[in-house]
Amino acid sequence: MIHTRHRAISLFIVAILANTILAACSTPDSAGSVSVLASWTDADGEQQSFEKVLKQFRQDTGVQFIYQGTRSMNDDLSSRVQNGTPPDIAILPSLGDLHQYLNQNKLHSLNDVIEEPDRDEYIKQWPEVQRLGTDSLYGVVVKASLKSIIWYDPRQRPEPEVQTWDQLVALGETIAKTGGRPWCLGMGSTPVSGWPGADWIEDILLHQFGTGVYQQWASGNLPWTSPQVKKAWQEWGTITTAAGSRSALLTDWTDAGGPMFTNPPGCYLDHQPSFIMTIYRNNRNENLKPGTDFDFFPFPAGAADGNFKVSADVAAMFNNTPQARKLIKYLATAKAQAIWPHSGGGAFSVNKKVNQDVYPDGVSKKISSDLINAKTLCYGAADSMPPTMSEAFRRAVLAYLSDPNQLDQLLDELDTIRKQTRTEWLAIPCGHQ
Amino acid sequence: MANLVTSAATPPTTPKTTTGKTLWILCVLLLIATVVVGSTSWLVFQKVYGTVDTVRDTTAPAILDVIAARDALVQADSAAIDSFQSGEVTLSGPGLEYQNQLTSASQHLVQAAERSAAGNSSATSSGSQPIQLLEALLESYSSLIGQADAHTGTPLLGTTDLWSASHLLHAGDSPILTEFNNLMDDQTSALNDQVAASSMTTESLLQWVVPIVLIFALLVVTQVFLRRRFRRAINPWLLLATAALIGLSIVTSLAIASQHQLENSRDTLNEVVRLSRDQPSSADVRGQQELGELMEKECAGANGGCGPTVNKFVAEHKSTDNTTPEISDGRITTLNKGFDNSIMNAGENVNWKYFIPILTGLIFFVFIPFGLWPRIEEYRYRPR
Repeated sequence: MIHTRHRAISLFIVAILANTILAACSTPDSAGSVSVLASWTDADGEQQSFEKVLKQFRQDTGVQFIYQGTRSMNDDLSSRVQNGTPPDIAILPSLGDLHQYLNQNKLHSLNDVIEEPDRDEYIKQWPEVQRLGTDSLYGVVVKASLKSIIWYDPRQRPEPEVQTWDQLVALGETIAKTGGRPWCLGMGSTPVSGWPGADWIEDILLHQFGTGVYQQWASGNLPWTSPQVKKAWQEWGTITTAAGSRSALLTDWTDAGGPMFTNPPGCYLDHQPSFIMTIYRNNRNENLKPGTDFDFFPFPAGAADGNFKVSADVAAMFNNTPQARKLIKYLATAKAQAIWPHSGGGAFSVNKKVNQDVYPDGVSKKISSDLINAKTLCYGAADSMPPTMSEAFRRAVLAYLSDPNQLDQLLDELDTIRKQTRTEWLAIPCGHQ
Repeated sequence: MANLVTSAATPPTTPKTTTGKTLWILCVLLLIATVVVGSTSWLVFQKVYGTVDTVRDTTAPAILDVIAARDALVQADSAAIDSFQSGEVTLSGPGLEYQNQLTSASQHLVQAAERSAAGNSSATSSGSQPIQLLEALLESYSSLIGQADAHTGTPLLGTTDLWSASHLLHAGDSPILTEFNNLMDDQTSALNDQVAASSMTTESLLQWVVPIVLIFALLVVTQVFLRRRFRRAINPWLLLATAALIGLSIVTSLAIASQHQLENSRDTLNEVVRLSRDQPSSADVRGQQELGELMEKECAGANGGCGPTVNKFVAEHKSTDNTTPEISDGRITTLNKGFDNSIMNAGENVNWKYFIPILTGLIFFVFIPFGLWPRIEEYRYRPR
């Protein structure tokens, strides 16, 4: 009887212990958690897409994630860093900002977290971007965007055959003669209004004067007052005059391309990065089909045939925790990079190992192909400049639109800032195949 | 007396009679029950008034600071727009009112941050990081207004900057006012948790009431026992103990009344936050209408007009009599006064807490020993 009672008690204790161990093993946060800050919010639907990547990470590793999306990325991150409570991982759309944190010794090197990306996996530009101009690895490109492209509505006109800048200007003039407004243009993007104009000027400079001049300028070695830079601004002036510069100042960048899809169209050509595809569908009509309702052609080559400008959202590690290391490692894999493109489009991986089948349409496949096979890729200059310079550039764009006659004065002021910030510039050379 | 107290604290040899044992047991039980009642009453009192102190000195001021900062910022925005609309900007920039209100907003945020640093409550510590974010956003906002001021010579650019600044405050994906609202939501959520933690649940009410009922029952049983055994009409010391116990219960009830006042304060503060968050102030409505007029003027002069976002804003902020939303200014002022009154009332009985140890001490050291010890002494060496 006593023996039976002891056995029952022993069994009970074993059951309790087993249950405790089982519970401990299956507790979701047993592997810890990682906090992530990025600029993707619910408002544009990108947060949901990125969270799919994070959920898969959680499923694969057991590590929980705490994600926060904010459009005030710079203010939010800088206040957290100053407060001594940065997120474990922040994903920034500007290398210039990231470089600032590197200079403040706030970033952890990823050399012992992931292996140096091998040449077969990436076109040369991307390892350059991920090293932030140093010898160590500091970032992982989570998604990239192709710039140097011009969008049009194939239902209105077939793909224009534009090889040179003059042909592009002539195309605008032809459209204007028929009573149409050739260019869709909007500069509003609080608190970084003006960046679409900065993109234009960068493209003109790159494609008219080649990668050498572009790299010199983007690394702070070519004065803003140089003839090449001034010419780029003036050429853009011909576009803005046709587009209606006052209207551009009073239009948000997300609204600019909308009139392309009205009947009759309010504008015909839209110079925007590849992420505009999501905006077209979110803002206008989710039934708009890539290839049928909108398509793109490359910015006229000029002196830089086969060259594209690019931008990227780069993940960097602010707290060196085992969970953060796991996530960085995960984000760099082809498996993780395929999730977002596959789940709704609008995002592109720069990893060659990501199967092209993940892209849902021909236009996306074409963009992806350019991102991994282009002859040369150059990182957007405004995104890699010191933040002060970048902001001044955007503000000068707005000032130029309001009064093009003050160009010389604006370029002088920009050059003064270039000299003052000389030591903070980041040199990211264009990458070739 | 001293002898009695010492004797009560260090009991003599065990009584040898049943009556003596019963008296001894009743005495010990009464003393234990007194300690339990005194302790629970003290804990109830401390819990309620501790929360009243925290809410009055830290949590509520932090919330009111954030509300004041939000309100001042809205006033600053309206004043800056008014300055542009009236043309005063060419001579006086965004204006003195703008400067004053912006300074006020900044100061209130600094005060809220200081309370966060000083306070240990979750209501304040959780607000530290968002406050720093708001301070950074305030800098971005004032920088845009500064740009607008610098561009007064080119009205289009000035208006565009003004639009960007006001847009940063009111609209977009993460506007500053939404960040304020999120912070206020976090703060009120923490306030509600604090007040809920000190409120009387059924469990805590039972923990307080049951010992009181038990000690009352024990006192009655003891009186009845003494009346039967010793033919005494009533034991005056135990009667005094009963009166002291009633006093103790009344004093503790004051804490329950204060908790009720505290809950009223919480409700009032929640209402102030709700109105501040959901109802635009008259200054805000006027400012946005004036910005709409400025933008409409610029759109009319632009070849190609404005984009849908601006057009929608202009349409939504046309100044028509029938679309003016409910103005919350006066209501908030009234509620603020109501909050001040109720939190003052909640804290006014705090000094009664000293009666708890006094009454407990009297019952424990005087009334019960004096009431029972002479009878215990009588039966100490005597068989029944």
